[in-house]
Order: sequence, then structure tokens, then C-alpha cells
Amino acid sequence: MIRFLARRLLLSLGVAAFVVILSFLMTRLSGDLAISIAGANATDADIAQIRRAYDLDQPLAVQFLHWAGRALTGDLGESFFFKEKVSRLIASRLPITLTLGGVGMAAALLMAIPLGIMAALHEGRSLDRAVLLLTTLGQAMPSFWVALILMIVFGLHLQWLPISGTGSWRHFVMPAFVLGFSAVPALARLTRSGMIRALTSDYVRTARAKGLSWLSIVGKHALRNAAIPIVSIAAVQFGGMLGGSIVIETIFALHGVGFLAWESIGKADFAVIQAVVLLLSLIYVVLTLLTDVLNAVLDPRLRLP
Amino acid sequence: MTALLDIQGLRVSFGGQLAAVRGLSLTLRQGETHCLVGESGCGKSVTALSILRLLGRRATISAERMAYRGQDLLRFSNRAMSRLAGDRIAMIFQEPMTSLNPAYTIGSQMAEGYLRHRGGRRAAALERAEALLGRVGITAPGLRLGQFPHQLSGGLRQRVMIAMALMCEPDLLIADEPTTALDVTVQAQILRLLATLQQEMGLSILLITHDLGVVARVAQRVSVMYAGEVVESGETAAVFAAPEHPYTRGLMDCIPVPGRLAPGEPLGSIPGTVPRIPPGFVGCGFRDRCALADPACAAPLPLRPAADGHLVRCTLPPGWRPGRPDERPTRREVPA
Amino acid sequence: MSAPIRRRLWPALLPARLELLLGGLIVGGIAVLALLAPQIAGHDPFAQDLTQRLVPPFWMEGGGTRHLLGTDQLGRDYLARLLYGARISLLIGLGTTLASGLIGTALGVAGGFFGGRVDDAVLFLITARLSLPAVLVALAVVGLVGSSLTVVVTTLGLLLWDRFAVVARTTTMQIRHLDYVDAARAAGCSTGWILLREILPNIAEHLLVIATLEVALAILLEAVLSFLGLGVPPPLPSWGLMISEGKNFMFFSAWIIAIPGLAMMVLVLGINLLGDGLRQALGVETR
Repeated sequence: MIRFLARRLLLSLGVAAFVVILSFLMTRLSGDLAISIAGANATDADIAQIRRAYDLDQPLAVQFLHWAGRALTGDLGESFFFKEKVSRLIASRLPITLTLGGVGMAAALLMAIPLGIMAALHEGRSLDRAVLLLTTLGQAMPSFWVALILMIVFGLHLQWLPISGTGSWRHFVMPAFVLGFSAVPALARLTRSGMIRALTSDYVRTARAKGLSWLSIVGKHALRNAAIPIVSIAAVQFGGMLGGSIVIETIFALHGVGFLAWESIGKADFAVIQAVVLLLSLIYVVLTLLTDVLNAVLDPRLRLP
Repeated sequence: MTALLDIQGLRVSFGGQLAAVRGLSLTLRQGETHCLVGESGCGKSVTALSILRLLGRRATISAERMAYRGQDLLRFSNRAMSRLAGDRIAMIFQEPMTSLNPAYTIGSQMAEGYLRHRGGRRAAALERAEALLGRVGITAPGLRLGQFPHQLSGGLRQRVMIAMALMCEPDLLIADEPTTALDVTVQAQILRLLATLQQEMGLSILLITHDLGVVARVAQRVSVMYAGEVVESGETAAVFAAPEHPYTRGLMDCIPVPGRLAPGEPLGSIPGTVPRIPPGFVGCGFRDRCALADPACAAPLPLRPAADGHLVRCTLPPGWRPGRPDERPTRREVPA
Repeated sequence: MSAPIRRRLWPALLPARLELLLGGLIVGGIAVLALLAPQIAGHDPFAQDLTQRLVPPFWMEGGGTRHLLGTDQLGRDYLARLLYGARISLLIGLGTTLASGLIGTALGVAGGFFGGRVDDAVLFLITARLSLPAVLVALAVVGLVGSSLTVVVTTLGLLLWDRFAVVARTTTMQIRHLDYVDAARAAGCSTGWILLREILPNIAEHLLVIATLEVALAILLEAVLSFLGLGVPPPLPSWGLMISEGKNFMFFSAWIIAIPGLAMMVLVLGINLLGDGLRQALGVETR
């Protein structure tokens, strides 16, 4: 088991390194970065100075090694747009994105799991079909559009919720809902099939034969086993949410990492872009490793003998 | 002796398509082991599952009478049924490998039923569980309480299932092919265990099986089932000594007994396979495979006494005896 | 338990025929409309008329029959933009899926068929791709290289091949040891021939189902990119771009974002129904 985890860790690190190199190359795609950085009114001297300051006159490999070396010590460079250390920039924005992702995931699970359980309990009948219809429609709606519609309804007409900024918990309600909403169809279907599988299993039959209560059968016996694949998928979805938060953050003007990335792309602030890609990939890697641990926690069969 | 479980005219069908049980009657007396024996597909498992309502939504169950200690089980609400199940009537199943929840420990699964029906402290329930595990022959029972099902072998798991079923000291244990999925040696152990427990605890057992050897070993009474109904039933010794239904005779002939057949003689077999009975089917379900069938077999047949008093459902006269096993007598060659 | 019911673990909203029919009608209908856009639009989607800004659709007050779905903030006919936008969505969806399908299938089949180091490499690539925040990367590339239809299709095509690869790999692995493959090998067929004539046709069904899912995904992703200003460049009438441009006016004229959003929803729904119907009809199980 230790060996397995070690191998997975090594693979994950290899993947992270690969991703970082990719993102590094990607930011160099747009031709001469020095020119983009310098702006429209730069003189040749300015451009040359920038080139020297940002290592842009060195061969790519050297640039990468310099960057990687500094990154390992936590120095992710400096954003020339914000005139701040990238690491500090990201650190200040990260809590918002993580909060958004966390609440969004919680919202998704709160919506998806009951829907899935209901569908499973009424398998083949009208409630099941209704849930399926709901998830099918939900999958077809672009999340940013849903966000806008919600803004109109709840922000303008009903005036229940604020539509931008991060002043209070209320500011997170709509963004988190929209973020979670996109994960609901997949999670609900997974819950449904997992619950159906569990409810028709032999051990649930045994539980019924023991005269256990309905709540115990569904909530304790069935759900516990159905939850195992849900957790893995949810973790991956969470990673996706963090990456996809860029849209929600820009719509609701939440100053998280996603918003930062969007601004930086607009300004060709490649130090920031690279750092954000690195961060998100690392988070993803950590998440997948975590799901292995979580799986072992939930399923005793996967633990050390 | 009081009838613990009295089933009369049980009918179970699925989705209106398949008549799995067509008018089964069975009486289980207190303190005895009654075997329900038949091939795969005859409806014996369905019968067992229908008692505790474990068949699922698509099954339609009806009966003239399905009484436990005189109470009509069909009238019970689901809630009343769940109070009865696991407490007065317990059940164990064929597949010990999958009948326990892989996510919870043995101890917790054994304790939960007891806690539900008897209440009290968890520690007390676990103590009782440990004692029962010891009773069913499991070594280091305290250790087992904390283990998970996947850490135990099939035989051990089946013992756990039995111990779990006994937590609330039930009157009746329904065992659905408890030894079929186990090794032969383990089978014998489990059967011995069941017999011992029955004696010690006054347990009544309804044992479902397809294996006549099991019947011979443990059952005081036996009901032979075919195509959804009981074709012969009575005390085991009587039925085995003088079976009158051609199916029962066929089953017995299939068993190799040393000395009965001369070397080179073919082992008996029953041609054909168990049919699926459509609804509305009337008469003996065996008639298409029976060498002795005649038009009278297509009419509804009641159970009637055989020569020595046990019951049989057949148009052949009581006391009928065939010739040598390989002889297929034609109809009415039979001595009166 | 002896109840003889086949239980479908994968949910089906409607029977296969109905889904195929409905999905086919929707997608087909939109495709036809897109194709005939020049004929039926009645207006040039790029023609601005600043005297006719933000005219509402005909069913609302202030609307008329001249511009059936009204006009946008630059006076461009909304119906025309919607129809031409359908072209863009379909084009991007199909183009991206073609590209990603080729890449993913090639990788997946290679990994599944050859196993060993090749498979290790393929798995590594798939994991790496999954670790990339796709939206962010797509945005960054388009932002740095410049936005155009080609760039969007290429970028998305280079990003969305993972599901193809996973499914191609798994199904190839399932059939690579089957008898007919061994027979072909024994008969001396070249690897290339085996791949083309034995493996591919048998994984085609699964790939087809994945393809429908991917088309829908590509369309939605392009909308996101365009919405953020880093997708299809204006003045092209991408639906995402229309929503983005309209959001400044949506509080007064909600229809301006409702209409393209609904159109997108209908299209994606149709594609998903088609894919689900295919999945049922072909009896394919995908996670």
C-alpha cells in the first residue's frame, strides 16, 4: 500500500512537472512577450530593458530552469501589472476561490444526493423521470447564462441577493449555487445508480430481514456503499470547479484566483498565468491523491489487510 | 404440537407474467426442521422470501392463509412486519459472501438488529454478539467483532450470519440454501451446527434446499416442491422410504447409492427441464416430463394421503410401486 | 432473488426511439436553419443600424415584424445573428470533436492495443491533460495568440480529447485479445490492418456516443470562451458573445440574453438526447 501510494505520488509529481512545462511554453506562444509587456508606446530601449529584466533574452530551457528554481523556493516571480509578488497576490485571492468552491461543492451535494436518492427509491416511476428530466435540462444550460438569469431574477426583480462583490455571506449564495448547479446532473445520476445497486444488493436484503428501519436501511446501509464512487467523482468535480470558477468570479466580480487569471490573461501577465496554472494543477494532483485515501476510509476492503 | 407457521394456498407471481408459486401449503411445527426441497426454479426461494416480504415491488403475493402463531402475516403493516423480522422470525441466505455489508464491522452489524428490537446499551449487544459467535463455533469471537466481512472466509461468514440471526432468540429460522455456496466439508459442519442449535434453543427451522442429502441429514419433515407447488410432503423417513410422486422418485433415483445399481447401469435422470409456468396454468406441472402422465393430470389436483399417510399430489393410486428403475411402465400397468 | 427483471442502471428519460427522434429533429432542424441562414435571415447579421437599437422581439411591446427577434445594441437584426450563430456553434462543435476525436482515438487505441510502455505514456498524457484546468488554458492560449475561429477550434480540439482516449483505450483493451484479432494476426495481417479493420469498427459505437457528448461540451465551452471575450472575435455572432454583449443591457431587456441562451439550451439538449438515444439503441455502457 505504501509502495502504491509512493508510485502514485511520483506519477502525480511527474504530471505536475509536465503540466508546468506546458504552461510555461504556452505563455511564450504569443511571440515576443517583451513587446506585449512594454505596451504600445515603448521604445526599443524599454523593450530591451524588459527583456533583460524578465530573462526573455535567454534560451527557453534556461528561462524555465530559472523559473522552476525560484518557484521551488516559493518565489513565483512578480506580476508586472499589479507590481506585486505573485505568491502574495495568489495568497490574497485564494481564500475567496476556495470558499466559493467549497460552498459550491456543498451546494451541489446538498442538491444532488437527495435527488439521486429520491430517484432511486422511486425507480421507473414518475418521480424518477422527473429527476431525470431535471438533470437533462440542467446539463444543457450554460452556467454563465444561468448566473445571469439568476442575477436578473434575484438581484433585480426580487432584490433578495447582491449581485457583485464579496461583502457578506449573501454575496456567495448565487455564485456558489451556479457553480454547484453545473455538477448536480452528474452527481445525481451517480447517486441514483449507486443507490439502486445498493438497494438491490444482498446485504440490504439481509438488513430488511433483520427488521431494520427504513431510515437505517437507506441512510446507513445503502448510502454508505453508494457514497464510495460519489466521493471520487465529487473530488474531481471540485477540482473542475476551482478551474471553472473563472467564469463565475468574473460575472459576480468576486476577486478570487479565477478573476485574477482572467485579468492577467488580458494583460499578458505571464508570470501570474503560469503560477495560477501551476497552482490549479497541483490542487488537482492533491485532490486525486486524497480521493485514494478517502476511498480507503470509506471502503474497508481497500485498506491494509 | 402447535403449528408455528401455517401457509395455505400461497400464490406468488411477478408482473402478472410468471407464476412462481401456485398454491403452496406448508405447515411448520414448533421445534422441528422442515425442509422445502426442489430444483432451481421451482419456487422454493420465492416462497421463503415471501414470508418476510423480501420480494420487492413487482411481486404479487396472496394466500388463503399465511399465519405465524395464528396471526395472519398478510394483514401485518410493513411496520409490524419489520418488528417481527429479525426478532421472532429470522432468515439466513445462500450467499454469505455478499449478504453482509462490506462497510461495517461484524460486531456493528450483529448489534444493530438487537438494538433495534430490544434497545439497551451497545456494549450489552456486543457482549451478546460475542457470546453467540462463540456458540456457533467461531474462534476468537472478540476479535471477529471488530473485523470486516471481507476478512472472513465463506464458512465463517455463514456462521456469522447464523449467529446474527439468533441475536434476538427467534422462534423460527428460515434458511434459504445456507450451505449451497460452501465447500462440502463446511456444509456438513454448518448443518451439524444448525441441528445442535435447534436442540439447544428449541429453534424451528424452515430449510430451503435442492439437495436431498441435506434433507436426509437434518429434516424431520419434508415438502417436495415442483413448478410452484408442493407435490409430496410428510415425515422425512416416510417420504424417503416410499415416495409416490414420480418426481420424488425421479429425484431419489438421481442419487447414486452404493449397491443399488449394478455396475454399468445408467444413473436415473429426469428428462426435460423445469418449466416456467404462465399464469392460468392448471393441473400438475410435472406432466410434460412424467412418463406416467394422462389426461387426468391436467385438472387441478389436491394433496391427498399416500399409502402410509404422508401427502402427495398425483393421480396415481396410493401405494403404487414401479418396477425396476430402468423400466418405464406404461400407464395402468399398475397393481391396484 | 428470483425476480426476472432486467434492471437498467443507467437512467433513460425516454425510450430510445423517442430520444433519437426528438434529438434528431432538434439537431437536424437547427442544422437546416443554420445552413439556410442566408436565405431565411432576411437581414445581414453584421449590418448595424443605430437608429434601430435594442428593438424588442415582436411579441413584446415596441417590437414589430421588421425585426422578428428584435435588434441588439448596435441595431443588428437578432434573428439573423441567431441563425448565423447557429452556424458557428455547429461548426465549432463538429470541428473540435473531429480534431479531439482523432487525437484521442489514436492515443487510446495505441495505448490499449500495444500496452506496456506505450500505454504508460498514454496514461501519463491523459492524467496530465486532466490535471490541466482546461478552461483556463484555453483562455490563456486564445488570449496570447489572438482570437479567431481557427484558434478556438484548434485549442479546444487539443484539449478535449481525454474522454475519447479513455474510452478508446478501455474498449480496445477489451477486444484486443478476442479470437478474431488473434485470428487476423495468425493469418499474417499487419498491425496497421488489424487496427483499421478489426479494432476500429468494433469500438466505433462507443466513440460515436462519446462524440455526441463532446460536441455538446465543445459548444458550451466555446460559449464560455466567447462570453469572456476570449473566444470567437466580434463581430462574429457567436451565441456566447451575444450574451456577453447583451449583459450590459439585460436588466432592462432580459430577452437579449434569454434568447441566445435558450437557443443554446435547445441545441445542447437535442444533442444530448441524440447521444442518449444512440447509447440506448447501441446498448453501450459508458460511465
